[in-house]
Amino acid sequence: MMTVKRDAMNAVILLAFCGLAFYGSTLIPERSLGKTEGDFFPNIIIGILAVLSLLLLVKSVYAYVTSEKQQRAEPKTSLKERWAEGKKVWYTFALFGAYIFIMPLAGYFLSSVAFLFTLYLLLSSNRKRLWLVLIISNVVTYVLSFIFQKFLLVFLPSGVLF
Amino acid sequence: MDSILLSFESILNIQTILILLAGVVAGIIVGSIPGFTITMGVALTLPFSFSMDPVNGIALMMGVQVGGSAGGLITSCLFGIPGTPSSVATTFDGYPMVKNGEAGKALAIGLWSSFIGTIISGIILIFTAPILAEWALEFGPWEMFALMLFGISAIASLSDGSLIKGLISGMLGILFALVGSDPLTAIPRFTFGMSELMSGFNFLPVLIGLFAFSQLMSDIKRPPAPVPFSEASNVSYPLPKLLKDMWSSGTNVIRSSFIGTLVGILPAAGGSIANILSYDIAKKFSRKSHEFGKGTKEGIIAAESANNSSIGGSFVPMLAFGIPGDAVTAMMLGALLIHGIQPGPLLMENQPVLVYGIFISFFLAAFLMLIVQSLGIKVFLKINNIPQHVLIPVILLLCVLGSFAVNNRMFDVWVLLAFGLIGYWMKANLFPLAPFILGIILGPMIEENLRQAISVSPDLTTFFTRPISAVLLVMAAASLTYGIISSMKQNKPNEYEQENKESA
Repeated sequence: MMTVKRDAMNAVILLAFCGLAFYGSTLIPERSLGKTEGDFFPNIIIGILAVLSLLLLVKSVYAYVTSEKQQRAEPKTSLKERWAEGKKVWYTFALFGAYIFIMPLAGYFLSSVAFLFTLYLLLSSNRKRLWLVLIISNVVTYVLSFIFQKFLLVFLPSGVLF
Repeated sequence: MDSILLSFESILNIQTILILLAGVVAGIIVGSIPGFTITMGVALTLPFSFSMDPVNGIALMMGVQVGGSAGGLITSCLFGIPGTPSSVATTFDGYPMVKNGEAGKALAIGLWSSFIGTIISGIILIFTAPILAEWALEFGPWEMFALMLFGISAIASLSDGSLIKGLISGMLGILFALVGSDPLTAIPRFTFGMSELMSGFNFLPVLIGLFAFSQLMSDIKRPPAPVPFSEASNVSYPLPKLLKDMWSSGTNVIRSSFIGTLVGILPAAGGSIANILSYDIAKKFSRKSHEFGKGTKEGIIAAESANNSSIGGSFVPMLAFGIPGDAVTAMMLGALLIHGIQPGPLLMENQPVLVYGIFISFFLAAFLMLIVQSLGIKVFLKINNIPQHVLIPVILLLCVLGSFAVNNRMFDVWVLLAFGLIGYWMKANLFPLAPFILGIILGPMIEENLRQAISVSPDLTTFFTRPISAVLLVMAAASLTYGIISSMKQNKPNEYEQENKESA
């Protein structure tokens, strides 16, 4: 039943996305340079996507309505339980966001070592030999920057704060 | 002939062989780690291929694909855990054979089946792709549009999950591909005033975000089962015995390789379908079908030769039509586009050295895979033992560097994060990712062909009056109908219950 509800919610999100995309397509200027304008194809795709999202919504609502009462009354997974299951993922996303926000300021090396070390602490319950983890974080960061800078000629951010 | 000699020259040099070797080693490692996929491995090698010349870039990715497909058999046989989705059926007989005390036999037979499967599919690829490409030269925008529509509809119908979700995934991919300048009028579309979006989303961070980043997040949420490691595992098997075993199962090897190649040619039906389908057929054809599932070599041969031969098959539509058959070939197509090479029927005519180079590196990858996996099996088992909480941070860092490397700008790393979130949301809600990526790659081409066709003749019935275009549109409709029927069949017990089980 949870998938049904989630699908209904997904369909609503997709419909909202279609609305945003349609608004974006109205901003495309017309130039009359050919038989079709720049918004011709996007509008077809947005239309198909909207119809499919509506179908998903109808399908999930229908599945919910026709499901037996007993199924609907099944014990629900609480928000707390769902958070406990997925919290590491959201922490990782947040940590990653913070990392790439800080990188241009603190530079590649410092921010990457901090990221690797913090993410290890987040994912592992082992708190022994953390000095080794810190050394490995430094080595990995250095080796990867060496490969990218030396062989692929990529100039990584050096930072503005230090 | 000159082109073939030039291709040999471009492949048979130390640099390319080392690149191919690195790809094969990386592929075997990725393939043998449960939770990591070949697609993810190929996505991670994309940034490296970017700085190489096209032949080397494709060779690297091909090495990962061939190596990954064979690497999946290690954990499938030894621990009963499929290293990749394309080695599920390998566990059916591989694991029981190991439990019967024949670990070396299981691994050796699996490896040689993978090798022979790759070679047979390579031979079919060499003969089929040029013929189809020559035929495709007659295609106009109507046929190309219909062919791409068929590709998207087939992948949406055959992908895991519901048809509606598959189609939504494909449409989302096309829509994201339309961000940037209009290819015909150069008018900015969906850029919302951001200059970084004028050239659209770069393939690289999008692909890495969708396939590598989101996969890592899924692994964090539900860590794959830890792989036990035993130093004492006897993984050797005498060559004469092995050759005798393979010889006595010649028919099975050839049949399974043909099945795998044919399945690979079909859009969306990749190694995972080939692996199971071929196993099933081998079981039906066998006089000793009762032995299947108890550790018979025939089961391993059928499963492994099919999943590896599907790789050669998947190259056929890519090289002949410029249409990717699955997510991995879509990435290779993206890599060619990044190098300014337009895949399609003209590729064989305009870039024969590159095409023959791809053929040669495919065979070379098979030989390297055989050598590397035979000699390094114990090392791969040890690498397999590295915990996920050590691997994941390092791979995430690699994702960042790979995305940054495209244009030396942080914007692409933010794109990586955005598409990582999109990919994770899609995976969590059972939207298949393969149609999305096909949409991203094919979206601009579909638009260009449709608008070209309308410019030449505004009459839309032309799509149905031109025979090839009409047949392809009928095939697209047929694949959708198939998708609807199988969706309805799934619905009977309760599709949502089924999905709940899958997502659990």
